[in-house]
Parts: sequence; C-alpha cells; structure tokens
Amino acid sequence: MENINFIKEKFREYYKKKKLSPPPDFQKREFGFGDIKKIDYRHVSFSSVDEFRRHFVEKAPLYASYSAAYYEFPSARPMQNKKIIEADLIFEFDAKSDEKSLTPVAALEKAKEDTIRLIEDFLVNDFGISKSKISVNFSGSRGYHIHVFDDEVKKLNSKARRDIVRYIKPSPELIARVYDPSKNYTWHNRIKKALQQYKALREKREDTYKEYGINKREDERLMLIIDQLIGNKAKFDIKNKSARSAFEKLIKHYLYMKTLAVDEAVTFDMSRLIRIPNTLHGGSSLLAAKLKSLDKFNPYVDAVVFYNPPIKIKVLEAVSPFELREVKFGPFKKDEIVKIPEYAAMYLICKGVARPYGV
Amino acid sequence: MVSVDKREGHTISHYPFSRLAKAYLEKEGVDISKVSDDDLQLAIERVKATLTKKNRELWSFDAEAKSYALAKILVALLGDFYVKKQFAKGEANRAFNYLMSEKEEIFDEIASQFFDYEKKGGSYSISFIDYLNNAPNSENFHLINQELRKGKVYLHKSNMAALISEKLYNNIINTQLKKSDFPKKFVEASKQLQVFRRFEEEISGPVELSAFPPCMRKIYLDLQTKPNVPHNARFVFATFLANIKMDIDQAVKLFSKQENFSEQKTRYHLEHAYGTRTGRKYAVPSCSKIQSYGLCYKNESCKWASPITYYKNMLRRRRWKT
Repeated sequence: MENINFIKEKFREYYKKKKLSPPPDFQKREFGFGDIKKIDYRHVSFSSVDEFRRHFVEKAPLYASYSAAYYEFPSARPMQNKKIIEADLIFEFDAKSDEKSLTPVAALEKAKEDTIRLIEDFLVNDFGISKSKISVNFSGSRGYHIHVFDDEVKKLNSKARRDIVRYIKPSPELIARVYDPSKNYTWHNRIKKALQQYKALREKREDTYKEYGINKREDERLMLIIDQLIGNKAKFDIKNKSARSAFEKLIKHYLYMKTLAVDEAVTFDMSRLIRIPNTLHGGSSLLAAKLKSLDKFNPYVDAVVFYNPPIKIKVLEAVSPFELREVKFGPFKKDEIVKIPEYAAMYLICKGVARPYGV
Repeated sequence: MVSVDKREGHTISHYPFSRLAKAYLEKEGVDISKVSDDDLQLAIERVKATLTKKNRELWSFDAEAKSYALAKILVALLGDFYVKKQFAKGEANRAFNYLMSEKEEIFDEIASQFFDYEKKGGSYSISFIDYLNNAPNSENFHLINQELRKGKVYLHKSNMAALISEKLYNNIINTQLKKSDFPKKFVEASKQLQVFRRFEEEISGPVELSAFPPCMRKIYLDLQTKPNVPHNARFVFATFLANIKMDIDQAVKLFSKQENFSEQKTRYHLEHAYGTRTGRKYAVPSCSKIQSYGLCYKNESCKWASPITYYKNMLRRRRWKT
C-alpha cells in the first residue's frame, strides 16, 4: 500500500503538468481504471476534456484503459445496455521472453519487428489501409498496441475480426489442408516459397530435414512429391502419411518463424479495454507513448518520463544490471539501500522490487 | 396494376427483395393498414413452403413481391429465432440458385444493390470489410483462400452470388419489428406460423422411443440385453437422455441391468449430464464424435449432424403431419 500511494503521488504530479489528450470520440467510449489490478473499476465515461483530465489528477490511476468500441451509452451496465455502435480495429503484441532481465530488450525488439511487419505486410499491403489511419503506441510495459482509426474498418463485426486474426496468424493444420499450388494468393505463394527453399537447402545438404523436425523417411517421401507441390497444378491430396506429416512439419517450421505473435482476443473481442496512449503504466512507470517513428523508438529511453534528481530506495529482491536512458544501474543486492535518479527508482518501485526509503 | 415489362417482371418475381420489387410495391401503393386477408394468406403460404422445403412454382410477380414483403414482416413479428433462421436460409438459397443461372446484366444489377463492386473481366472486387462481414462461415471462404490485394477481395460470379445470398440472409435475420406498429391481423396471422417454432422448449411430452436415431436405439437395446456396455456408450446415452428430457428416475432404471449397477452412482453421473448439479446440461456429442467412438449405426434415415437434431426433426415431422 505504501508503494502504491507513493507511485500515485508521483503519477499525480506528472498528470498535473502534462495536459493529457483523450482518445478520439472519447464521449462514446467506456473507460476503466485500476491501482491493484489493471482494471479495478470500469463503465466510466467522460463528457468533456476537462472532466477527463481532472479524473487523472484526482484519482492518479496506476493503469488507465478505454474501449476500442464506441457506445451509445458508454457507462450503462450490463454490457448489452451500452449499445455498441462500432469499434476501432486494434492489435496487441506482447513480448514473450525467457530473459530474466528487468529490461527485456531483445523481446521488445521482436515485438517491434512484428509490429512493423503487421503494418507493412498485412495492414497496408493486403488490407489496403492507409498508414495515416494507423496509430502505434508502446504498451508501457512489454509490447506495442496498434490502433486503426478508419470509418470503414470500424464497421467490421466480431466474426470478421476473428477472420482477420486467422488470416494474419493461420494455423498450420489449416494451411496444410487448403494449400493449392495453382492459386496465386498471398499465403499459397508463401508456402510455395517455403517448399522451394526446402528443396534448395536439401539439394545442398542432405540432412536439412533435421532442422525442421522431419525424420529421414518423411523427408524421402516429401522429396518424391515436392515438385508436384511446387508446380502449378491444382490442389491434390497427399495420400502418403509420411509425406503429409513432413509437409505439415515444414509449414509449422515456416509459420513459427514468420507468423506474428499477435494476441487474438484483443482483436476480436469488441468490448475490450486497452491502455490509453500517453498514460503512465503502473507496472513500470514508463509512458505508453504514442509513436511518431517506430524505427527509432527505444522504450528504455523514449518512454522514461520521470526526473533526474536521485532518491533513496530499499531493494527488496536482488536486481540484475539494467539500463535506462542509456545509463547503467545495478546489480543491487537484497536489502541494499541505494540512491539513484528518480526515473530509475520509479522503475524498480513499480516493478515491485524496491520501495521508497525514508520518505 | 402498374404495368412492368417482361424483364422487370422476371427480376421482381425471382428477386422479390430487389430495389425493383420495392419500387413496384410503392407504385402499387401497397399500404400496411389495407393489406387483404388473401395477401396475408399468401405470405403464410410462402413461409410454409420455405420451411418445409417444398418446391413450389413461381407465382406472378405481383404475388411474389407482396408475399415476400409480408412474409418477412410476419416472421419478424412471430419473434421466434428458429423460424426466422429457417425462412432466411430458404430465401437466401432460393436467391442463390436463381442468381447462379442469371443473365449477367440482371446479376450485376442485383449485386449492385448489395455491394459496391468493381468488375473486370469476369471478376468482381469488393472491399475486404464487406467481404468479411458477409462471408459464409466455411473454409472455402476463409481469407487465406481468397485473392486479397490492397484491401480488395476478387471474386468470381459464384462466390459473389454466395455473398449476396449471405447478406440477404443477414438482412432477414436482423429485421426487428414492433407488434404495436402493425394492425392486429398481422399479429394474428403470424401466430399461424407457431407450429414451426423451435422445438427446444417443447420437448416435454412423453419420450418417443420410435424417434430415437439408430445409434441411440442400439445403446438402448444393449443396456437391456448386455451387462457390460462400455463407458463411452453410457456417457453419450446419458447426454442424449438429458437433452430429450427423459425423467431422471426413469433414466436411472435404464442402466439397472448393468453388472456394476449402483443406483446412487448412476444418479450422480446422470445429474451431471442433466446439469442438475452444475446448472449446465451436457451437449450431446455430434455424429462425427459418435462415429469416432465407434458407436455410429448410420442408416438412410440419418440426415443430420447430431442425434438430438435427428430426434427433434422426427418429432417435428410427426407434428406437421397431424
């Protein structure tokens, strides 16, 4: 509790100084806030920018979210009484990593690459959405959020959103079942390329199959029909079990390298709440910054918003070295009392591995 | 009667949902408050023919236009989702079949009423948003299996026809009307459609053994004659009994000839299937699951994907006969 109150005071100071802008058409949105959980209370709505800003200064929430959906009555409950009108299309990438580090740089880099690929390959190229309609923000913690603000796209129903996710992230079984070499469609072409690549690698090195988790027998069977699979003849059933299994494994291998780790539920659940861009994240103290340029964005520099003057903290569990604003900190031992810049202290306190000392 | 040329007559009678048909009804001055009993009866006829999948001859364009418009209203007023769904399905199929053999010019005219499209060669392109919001739920229509470029999906005629019919289906399903906006005789007429209502809430009468599908009949007989019916069969049978609402005491007795029968245990398991303990009834496994359990004894009477649909349809058929 002590920690939470300390964090809230710091957040309050921040929100007093910064004039927060609400999301587009905020009067039609539902808001939800939390200190302990991501959302402790929801069904909140605002009718003016002032009211919105005042809420942040008064309540200084650790987490602030809003609905991708537009409602006739955003604060009505239960949900069906809100009367949904339409909803922005949103995507979320969360960095999943085994990195023990407090600042998982590599995983966030992967999430960033996924975000760029989603926008370039899928949203712009396949779905024809103009970049000016796409807004990206850092999640404030371990990922990126993509919002599409487009009057037509808003009209997608929930089933359609599910189909979009299934298009972006198809299941290997589905692809194996429907693959048709005569079809000149995006996914069919991709699989054809993967097959061609396998064939080429296999001609160079006979034991290529090992990297794909394919066994020798399966590989031999696949090689018997691979030209047919690459050719331009229509879909045919792979009758041989080993060859089918090899084909499925090859697709799996390809997909796990190429598919985007997008969180499905966020996209198809139209009444989902998602973090408000440019608000603070209570689990990290970082800003869920709206990004102008994704390429150059470094969350551990650009989303750090607190100040330089140092403050004292007590470390609650061992902290391995980490870097913020290109300054190295740590390692710190358990129970150590250290004096570090406020922004680094806030980071550790929000992560729950330190508490303010002597405040 | 407003006169129409042959081509217009064709469009109106085959596509009574078309702009042309609506324009015709408007010109005719069809007025909700002055609809005749005969017209209402014709609408009832239309719904009945659709729901019983009876082939009927094409009526005059006047009758087609009026009966369609009124049928849509009556079905919405009845407020039964099952009837609405079946009617929508029937009308959508009918439209699909006519569209498939339609002249290009009329096809395109109908298509333009449903979608903004561009046409090049024989290929129609529509926005992916329209496509996804209306695509039927099948693997063939999965976006992976479509040509998608820069936000446009490219479709040949038959897929375009499927999309049109799906949108027509959705239009009918989404029609919500208030009884108070219509004359009393509309509401009265809609009640004639009650006989087609979804059966769910009506499975309450005595259990009809003769309506059991072959697989359930087999388990039923095995339980009486064999002491060791396997677990899977008992489980499937229990879910079936729960869903046809057989009295639970009666159901317990059906298992009494089993070697390891314990009334207490049987009742416990049945109560789970019936949902009396949890509030959630178990669904009957589908035919394909039953097949994978090796319990399927399919014969030519099996036209459905689940034993429970078989049972309901058998009962429904009987009711319609009487």
